[in-house]
Amino acid sequence: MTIAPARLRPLLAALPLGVALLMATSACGGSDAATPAQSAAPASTESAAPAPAESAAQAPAESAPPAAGESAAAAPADPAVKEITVTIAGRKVTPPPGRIEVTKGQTVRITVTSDTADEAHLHGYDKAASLQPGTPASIEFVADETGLFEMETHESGLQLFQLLVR
Amino acid sequence: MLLAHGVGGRQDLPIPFSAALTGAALALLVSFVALGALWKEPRLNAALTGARSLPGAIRTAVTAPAWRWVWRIAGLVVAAYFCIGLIFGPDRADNPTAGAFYVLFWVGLVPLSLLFGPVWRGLNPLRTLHLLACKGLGRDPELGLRPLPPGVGYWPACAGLFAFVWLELVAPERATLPVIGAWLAAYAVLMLAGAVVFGSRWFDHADAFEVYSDLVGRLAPAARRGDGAVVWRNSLDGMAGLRPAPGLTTLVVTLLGSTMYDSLSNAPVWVRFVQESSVPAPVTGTAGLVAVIALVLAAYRAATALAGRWGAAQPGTTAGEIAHSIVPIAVGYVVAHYYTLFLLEGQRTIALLSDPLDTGADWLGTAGWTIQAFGTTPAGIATLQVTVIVIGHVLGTVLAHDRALALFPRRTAVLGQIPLLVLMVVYTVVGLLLLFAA
Repeated sequence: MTIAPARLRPLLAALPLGVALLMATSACGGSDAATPAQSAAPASTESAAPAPAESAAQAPAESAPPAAGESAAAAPADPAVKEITVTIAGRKVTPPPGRIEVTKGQTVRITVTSDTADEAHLHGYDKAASLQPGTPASIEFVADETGLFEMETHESGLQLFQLLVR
Repeated sequence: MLLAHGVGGRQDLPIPFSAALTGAALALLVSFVALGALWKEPRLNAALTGARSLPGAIRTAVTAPAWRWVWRIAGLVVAAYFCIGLIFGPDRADNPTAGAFYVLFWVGLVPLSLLFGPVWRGLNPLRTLHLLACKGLGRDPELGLRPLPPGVGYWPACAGLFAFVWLELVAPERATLPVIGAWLAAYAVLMLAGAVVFGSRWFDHADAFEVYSDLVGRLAPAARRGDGAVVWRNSLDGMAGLRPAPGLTTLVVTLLGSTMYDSLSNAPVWVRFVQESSVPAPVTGTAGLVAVIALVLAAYRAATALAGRWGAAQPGTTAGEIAHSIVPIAVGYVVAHYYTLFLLEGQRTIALLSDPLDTGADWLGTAGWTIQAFGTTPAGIATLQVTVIVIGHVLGTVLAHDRALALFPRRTAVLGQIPLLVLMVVYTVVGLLLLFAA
């Protein structure tokens, strides 16, 4: 090492301090993600089985979503299922592409209606739906992996939205 | 980087705002500490005169001709294996070619070079093919038909790097075999033709992958010194050995700018803009890529010009002399952006590589791999991303500080560094903001 250690010391001392600070703050950021799960839980109480709803309300964020998924199977119109509806007309996507946030473990139902024959595909989860002109097509799955995933059409090459799973 | 279905399906979550803010605050703090408390005389020693030598056995091993041939042959074998999937494999998502090229090779070149130095120079199959052809014809590989013009510098590599990032980030159908195949064929022809005309020195100046590996490899902890000894060195000494040359500034700026564009192009605002404009997407994409690189370059030019004036350096020298300090910042960006892609998509690609023809074969025994998460939690990824960006910033700041002491007279050295520090803080904060918002 040709660096003068004495001169570098304050710099080196600042680094671990900063990293520690960073870990603390990003841990806080991580726990923010729990809020959507908690708000989803009361919603599921309205529609169906009280037992899963109760456990969802008590359990921490991690275990709440599977409970919501179960109740979704029992009642198809369950509001705990994240409904995403997209329409494509003349290469225009409605609503315009943006980010849609869901909680890890939540059930997601995506319905796409296109004015041309195409294939809609969710990257990462590798879920595809074949689109017939004017007929809505749906994909339903449990979002069990965190990350950012793009929903696209293959023929027209349009991005429909980005699914953000926390 | 999202390359149609297949490669890069999962992308990282945006980092929490608090993490971006902490990183930015750290970058600022480090800059001021560096300005006030670091050494007052240039200390980095690119000649590595004081570096500690590794044992003589290692030196003997790595200078033996057999050592070079082992890696040359390894490069040829790996390239030939890659070509099986590229040429004979089906053009489907299960073909490993796109993953092998964009993830294992391009992204993997960074960790490999960070650890072992300019590895692609030793592995480059095109260099080996040229060497073998020259040996067969009894010619000296160093000698071409004519000498390389002196002003060439890094310009051909710069063009090659831009061609690659355009392919990776903008080209339509970039994960398909015809597109990858056509790009690689053109690249191979240009490299080999250049080598025939200018000799093997052409690769040093024109092969974007060799030059990239060389830039990053200057941060490696061990290196071969000019006198042949293998030494442990300070990475900063290694980086300080990158001397100004024509095209160097544009090269490092392209590296940084293309990674910024990769983030930006993922932001919903940009996606909406591209889809709703009547101009074809590749045109908008190309314009966006060029615009981002041009902005990064303009900021660099403006800051170094101002630094040169305030610091009273010799006119026209500052931009080239400071270029090396951008490399760690760019490397920090690249690691932050592609770490999880490399980890997760790399595993998937290695599994696919076991069956390049998609016939159900298992040549490498890795076909059954399931992708392991290796503790990649959202909070962990965010922390790592901010940490590497800040480390890149610290290294860049220290490198710029040391070079500024050599460039500027003592009286103006502090003043001259201020524009450079502002530039680096801007690069770092923009990088963090892109991780937060895009």
